[in-house]
Amino acid sequence: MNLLLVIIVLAQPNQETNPVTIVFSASLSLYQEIISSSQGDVCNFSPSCSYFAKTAIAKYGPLWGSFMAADRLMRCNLWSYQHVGTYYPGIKDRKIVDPIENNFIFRDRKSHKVQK
Amino acid sequence: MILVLLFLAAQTIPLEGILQFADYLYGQEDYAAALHEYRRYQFLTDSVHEDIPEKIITCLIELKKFDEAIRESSQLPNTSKSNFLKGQIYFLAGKYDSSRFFLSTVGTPYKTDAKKFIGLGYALEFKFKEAGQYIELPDIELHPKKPLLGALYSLFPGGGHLYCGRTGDAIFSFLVISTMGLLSYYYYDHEEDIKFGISLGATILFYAGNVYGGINAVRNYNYYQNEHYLQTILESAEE
Repeated sequence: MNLLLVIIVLAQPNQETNPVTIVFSASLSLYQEIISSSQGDVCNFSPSCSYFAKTAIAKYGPLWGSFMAADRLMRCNLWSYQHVGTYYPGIKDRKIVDPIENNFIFRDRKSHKVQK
Repeated sequence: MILVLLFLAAQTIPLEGILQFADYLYGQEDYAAALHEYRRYQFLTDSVHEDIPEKIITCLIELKKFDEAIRESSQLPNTSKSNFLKGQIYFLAGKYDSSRFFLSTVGTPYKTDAKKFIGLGYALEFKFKEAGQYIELPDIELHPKKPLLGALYSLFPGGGHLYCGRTGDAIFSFLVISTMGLLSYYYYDHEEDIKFGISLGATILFYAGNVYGGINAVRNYNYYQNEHYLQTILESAEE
């Protein structure tokens, strides 16, 4: 098990030095490798909740990243599809599109309308 | 030998032929090929054709190469017509500040269209109040929600989602946090310290995530309200 952890940590694409981020990322990698792969494609969203959490933590740090991940986990429920078009941009391959950067509250959201 | 023949053949092609061919391609809406031919013509000739830079810019716009179009437009003279074109390029590139800078300098006959672009630029930035000074806005009242209220309501698990009309998410958030909380209490009651620590950590994390989610829900609610309003503006502008 320890060896697996070491492999996963070493396999991180970015050279992360924050120990909290490393622990979170390693746990999420473990989840993806062991639990998620046996469970199949069950998440309502694209990107999936585990990928969302991993990327959010890597991109916005362990504090905001874990808040974003917890929020996403609570939004991944039976009623998520009701909010497509009013909270989520759309559906792709039967998954609700929910880009990570759309959920970072300190970023101004600009219109995505094609001007032409 | 073949290369020499081809070279000689190329020398015999009249320059006006290149321009005519470029215009033909432009007319056929083959902008990539037309751009290539216009550039070839520009390279081979010293004479200045007034409308060629504009056609090159149009080709670049059609090919969605906005940065290149901006670079090309810097060579245009400082006239109303070219400033209008520059304003349009910046508008299409999504650089609305620069677009306004050029569009505000144009005179007749471009002034009316320039005003429309300025207004739409403001609308695309969700600055509807400013947009209203330049274009007619649809008579729909916007009711933006306050992120601070979203956070305050979220102090009760799921309250922020409920404030934004997301009942399902509110129920789910409440269930998750209350289950975690009860679990923490159970382990605390049974003096299982490690399990208590883990479940308490998870409860705190999900509770914080719920408050964060309350603000995020408000933010997304306002965003999509603005997007729908913008859609109505764009539809009426197209008409």
